[in-house]
Amino acid sequence: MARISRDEYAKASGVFGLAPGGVQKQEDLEKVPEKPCGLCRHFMESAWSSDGRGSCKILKEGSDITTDPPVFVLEGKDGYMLRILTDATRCTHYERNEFIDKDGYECSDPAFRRFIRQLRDK
Amino acid sequence: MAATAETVKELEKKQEWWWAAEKKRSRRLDYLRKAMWKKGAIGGLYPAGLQIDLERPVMQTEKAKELESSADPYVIKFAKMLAHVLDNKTIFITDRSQLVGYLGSAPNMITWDPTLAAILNHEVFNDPDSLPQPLDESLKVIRDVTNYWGGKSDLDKILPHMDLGDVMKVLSGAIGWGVPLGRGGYSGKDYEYIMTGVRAFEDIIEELDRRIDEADARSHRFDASREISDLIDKINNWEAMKITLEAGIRHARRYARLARIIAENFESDAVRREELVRVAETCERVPAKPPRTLQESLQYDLFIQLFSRNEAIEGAWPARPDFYHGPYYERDVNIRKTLTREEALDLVGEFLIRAAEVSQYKPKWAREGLQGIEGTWVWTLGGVKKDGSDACNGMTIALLQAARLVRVANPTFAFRWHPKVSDEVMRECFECIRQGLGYPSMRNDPVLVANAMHWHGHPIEEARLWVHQACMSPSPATKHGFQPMRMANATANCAKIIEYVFTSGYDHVVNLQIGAETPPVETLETYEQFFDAWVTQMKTIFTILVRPVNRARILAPKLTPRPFLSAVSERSVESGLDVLEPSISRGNAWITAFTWVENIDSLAAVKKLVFEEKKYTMAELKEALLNNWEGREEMRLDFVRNAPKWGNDDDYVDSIMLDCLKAASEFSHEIKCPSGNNWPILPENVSGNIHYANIVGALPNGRRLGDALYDGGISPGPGLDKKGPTAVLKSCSKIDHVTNGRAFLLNQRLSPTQLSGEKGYQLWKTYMKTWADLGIDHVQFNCVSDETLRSAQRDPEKYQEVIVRVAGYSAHFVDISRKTQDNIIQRTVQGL
Amino acid sequence: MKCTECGFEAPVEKFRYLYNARIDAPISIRQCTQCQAWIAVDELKGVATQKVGPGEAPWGKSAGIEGLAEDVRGRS
Repeated sequence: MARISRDEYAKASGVFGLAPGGVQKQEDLEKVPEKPCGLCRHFMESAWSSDGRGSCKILKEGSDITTDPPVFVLEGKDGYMLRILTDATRCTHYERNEFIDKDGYECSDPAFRRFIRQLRDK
Repeated sequence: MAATAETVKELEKKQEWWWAAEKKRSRRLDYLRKAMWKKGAIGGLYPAGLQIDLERPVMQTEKAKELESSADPYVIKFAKMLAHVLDNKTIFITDRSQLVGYLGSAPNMITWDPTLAAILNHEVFNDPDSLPQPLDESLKVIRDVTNYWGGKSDLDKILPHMDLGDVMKVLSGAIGWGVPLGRGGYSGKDYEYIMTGVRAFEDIIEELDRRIDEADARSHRFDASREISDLIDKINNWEAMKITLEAGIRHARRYARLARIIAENFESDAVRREELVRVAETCERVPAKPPRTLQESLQYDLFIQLFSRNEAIEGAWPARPDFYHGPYYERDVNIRKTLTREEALDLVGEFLIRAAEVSQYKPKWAREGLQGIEGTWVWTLGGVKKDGSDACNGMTIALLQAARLVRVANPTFAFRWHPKVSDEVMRECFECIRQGLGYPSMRNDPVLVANAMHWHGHPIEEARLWVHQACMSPSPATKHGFQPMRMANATANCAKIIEYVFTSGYDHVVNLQIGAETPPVETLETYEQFFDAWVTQMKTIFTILVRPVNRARILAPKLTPRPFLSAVSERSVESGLDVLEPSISRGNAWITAFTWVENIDSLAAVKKLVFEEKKYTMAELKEALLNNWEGREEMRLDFVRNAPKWGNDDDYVDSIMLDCLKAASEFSHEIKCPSGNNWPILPENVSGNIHYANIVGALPNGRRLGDALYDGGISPGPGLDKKGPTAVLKSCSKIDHVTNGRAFLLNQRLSPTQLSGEKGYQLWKTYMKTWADLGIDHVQFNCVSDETLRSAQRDPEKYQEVIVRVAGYSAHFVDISRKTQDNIIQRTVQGL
Repeated sequence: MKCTECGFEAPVEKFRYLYNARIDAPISIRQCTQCQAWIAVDELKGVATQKVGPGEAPWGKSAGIEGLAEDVRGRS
């Protein structure tokens, strides 16, 4: 269990909404992009999913889909951490999921879960 | 009620207990029960009609902003914030009630504390269903509050001081749940200090004043030692404690005033007017002064619980109501005869209802893991006194009877059985079980007293005063014995142990290396090597979970103090140290071991089919698991049907259980809490077996990703215990319930038909004798037929009140998800 | 595999896997992505056998002595 660097942590915890490098304002976390990661079939929610955190099944740590050009790291171990509302416009691996249930009532497969208010009607 | 005795009898004969209860209870209880808003989440979502209360977060935020420039130290600022809420929150009195107090501003409101964790606040913002209308206005308020607390919340303050790798793994939610917070978890209470009638808030304030004066005098002598420096902190803590106690007294008096206003100006009914005056007098008396009557005692307890929940999110409700309220019941009902038994039952029933409606906003993972309830309000009944004599009393019976009348799913009871319990009390316990409540769970007191002494060194007189700190774990309600906060994230999703043996610690669900990088499983040549890898993963997971809790306990007194809980704890009032300070606690930590038995059945299957029979290679099995058994149904069934399963009195697999527990309990002695005490494991599940269904990958016991896990503790897999109830008990009795772990949950399902009548009671009593003789520490029963449960699925409206035992708690059947429902129905119905 | 409700045909893994309540039975519940019906699937044969409605249990009754509850059934 190697020690994690503070830089790595800052990056990841920004995704967690813990905001070590300055407070992330709620309005920055609630913009619903045209192609949010939460609607992609490669997005995996964490167990704290309802605050919007998760990771990518394809892209690995070191990737950055928010830059232009985006950085895609496909080799490596840990998944690239994202939020449900991360803008995936530049991600070429994006595949929109077909959601088949609407209510989020059943505790079901995370890849199909959808109960975040902003994505309800998407 | 107007029902005839025949109607009630008929309903009871049909085992329609919920309708019979409706007819048997008083008009008042019936009204109060129906006026109650159920707060438990249905599946993972709050029921329609409940709303997140925005009053309190706004008050807290306003006060925090106002105090920003004040010269007060944080602990005093926090106490003032708490006092501000208690002084200003909206209060109400429910019609016909005799007990008052609620966390929210209206009965359907769920309180949200924005000071705890920014991630919780984001969750509130994202919640699709519970935001008050108009939505835009609510979102604006939530946005402002959330923005203010970002970076300032307890979790924001604590996490940067942790090992960051641990934090990432904990927050993935894959191996455990919860976060290490001093103000979020299960708070024990020093009931021996606060509930024995010796003292109340004014007495403590007097003592605090004396201590502050003495310390002040001491700190201004010609001296400059470390002690003097520490005294300044102590004075601050004592002052903060005093602020919260004074606020508590003022808060109660607001209720007194409201009750008098209603009585004098609005109430036309003379009887109700008198009741309101009594409510006023009660709230003028407690919590300022010690209670004198049952009503005052219950009200006093309720206030303490509510104040504590204004200070923290408390996911459990450790209590021993018969022990501490019993003397008042005895006095009012049997000695002074100021209350009839029926009047007392009304009060006790209402006390259960008041507790059932308490609610605090929780993240979705917690709601999924505790489907149908608000938290584990597992109240302890029975047991022994400090001197070892039977502690049961009239209040024990009143609570068991009241529970059958109000039929709330939460609080539930856990009964401390011991050889001196009378037949009368055992019959009352049985009646609750037979009537389908799922509680009380039965606890083996002599075993658990010995266990408390073994694991944490509690002296026998204190060990005998134990209460359930959450679902299962005993904790003495004594000065040094009680644990002020059990942080929920030492809750291990143990099925990951065996999963990680196959993935070398990589988690394919959250895409993160979490476990140890043990050798590729296909390179392990013997079962012993395979088991060693299992032990390594077990130690890794337990370590990752325990370290943040230890760290948070050390940081908590400074960063997230608990001035109110300190104020009602002898050790803090005496020392001036915050109640979370580990050096003044004996330590009573435990690792909750969710999803434990999957390991045993999986290890047995691998041992037999891969290593012994060599029917499959390890590489083949690894691939089948990675593919979630897709296309390998025959192989999957082989691993289920042709490998021994726990719970059938089969030494092949039972010895594996013992090996695993031996490894875990040895490790429990190596890892220490900040008080220097051990971290034993405690297998049990709540409904984590459903929450984790989508987080745990396929396993060699034949389970796929998405399937519910076993229902927990040391309960056999649903439908896999095929050799009858005695075989289950025999398997369980091979475990040493004193030294192998802190406690072991056992779910059993019994047939309601078989339990009917006197014969049913005698059968159950014989079963319980075997259970006790075998030294098993816990058992709880579901006693509702398949037919009733399937009917409830078909017609939920008609079966709103059917209650089932989920795991360490009970819930209304219609409030749990279909997957959980099916999991419960598939449990074996044991014939006694 | 063919959905018993709407006739939609696709390989079995394309039907959303929900769960199997009875680990020792080859019957799972999957969801049709076309009509969203919950269907019972015989995983050995790869065949959808029935729609699973509220209160229906394709795995049959629970293990043990549930049969003893017959007379309750008669009474209610």
